Amino acid sequence: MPSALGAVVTVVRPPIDLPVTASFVERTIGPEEIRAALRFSLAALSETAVGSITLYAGEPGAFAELAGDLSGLLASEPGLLEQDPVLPARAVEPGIDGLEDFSRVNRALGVLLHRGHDLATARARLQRHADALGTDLLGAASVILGTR
Amino acid sequence: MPRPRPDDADEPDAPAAPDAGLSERGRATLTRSLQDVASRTQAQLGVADGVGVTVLLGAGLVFAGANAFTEVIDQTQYALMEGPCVEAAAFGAVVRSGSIGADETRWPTFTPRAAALDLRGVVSAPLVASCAVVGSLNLYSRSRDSLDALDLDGVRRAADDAERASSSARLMAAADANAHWLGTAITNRVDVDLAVGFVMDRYAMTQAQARAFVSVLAHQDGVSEAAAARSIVADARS
Repeated sequence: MPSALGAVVTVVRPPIDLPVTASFVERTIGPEEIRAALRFSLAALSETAVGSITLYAGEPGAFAELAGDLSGLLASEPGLLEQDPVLPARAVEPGIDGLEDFSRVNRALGVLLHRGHDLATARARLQRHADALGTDLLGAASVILGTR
Repeated sequence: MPRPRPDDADEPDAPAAPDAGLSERGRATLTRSLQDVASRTQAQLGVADGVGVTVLLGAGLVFAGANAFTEVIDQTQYALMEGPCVEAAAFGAVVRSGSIGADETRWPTFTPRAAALDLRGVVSAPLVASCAVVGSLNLYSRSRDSLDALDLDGVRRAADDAERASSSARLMAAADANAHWLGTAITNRVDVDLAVGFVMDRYAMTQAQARAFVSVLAHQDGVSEAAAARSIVADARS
């Protein structure tokens, strides 16, 4: 597919609902270059995976054939394929987003593991802490790491 | 597509050939698509006893054939990483032999094994997309001269058709491999981060000190940082 520009993969690892997004592109892709997109759930590839893959191309309709193929393959699993997702308004740059926030929350969970929690109760404890502070998991994680 | 590095996280080892790092479902989808392409090509050319299609994905490859004869030849070839199809993909050129089991000398390990499988003739053409070799189209024959009549331009056209017909499946497979890689990298990263937090609290270390602690332990034990991280948390809690 000559006009393929690359892919963006978003992965969510429970019990943390913070997405990590990796852009597999050769260079920064301007929004004006992207004329076609196709998104499918990672559940289409693995029943246990949470997230999505979005493919980008420079020619309108570039994914029509792939979408047709996937529609056939995923006919029994509706909702896994999004044929015309909203095209990005900002440039797509190579790299990974969300990893530092994700790591911060996991380090805070590590602190709570040392204090006797298991992973499930640590996650619940962090959420309660966030609720009490009127913040989110990331805010609560920063407080735990900062006051340790 | 290049893979961005997740900073200091443990990157999963690159899969050894021929593993392309696909999910089970992704591999099945790609294999089915390549079998379809191979079968259509065999019907189109009408001369070979078997047609196979191989695609390169990162450091690995995936192949599928129109029949069992083709697949066993391909399995032999890619296990050895030696043979006409490997050569066609490596050099981006059509490779031809009608003397397997006779005086063919280019692939000394592959040739006797292929001859024992009844292979006599082979033509392999690279699949090229955007000036890059992305795989090969492989035609196999049990008779010495049945592929001689094949026009090489026709073989190249068939390879171009196979490239186009497999492009969607290859794109999907590449995305799958990247998602698999990212998922593995994140899983390793989670283990390291949990251990860093654990060590920070246990030994009153800074994040950087705790991270270095995990690295040193991994080095001392000769294991990956993710493995060392898992043992830190597990040992302390057991």
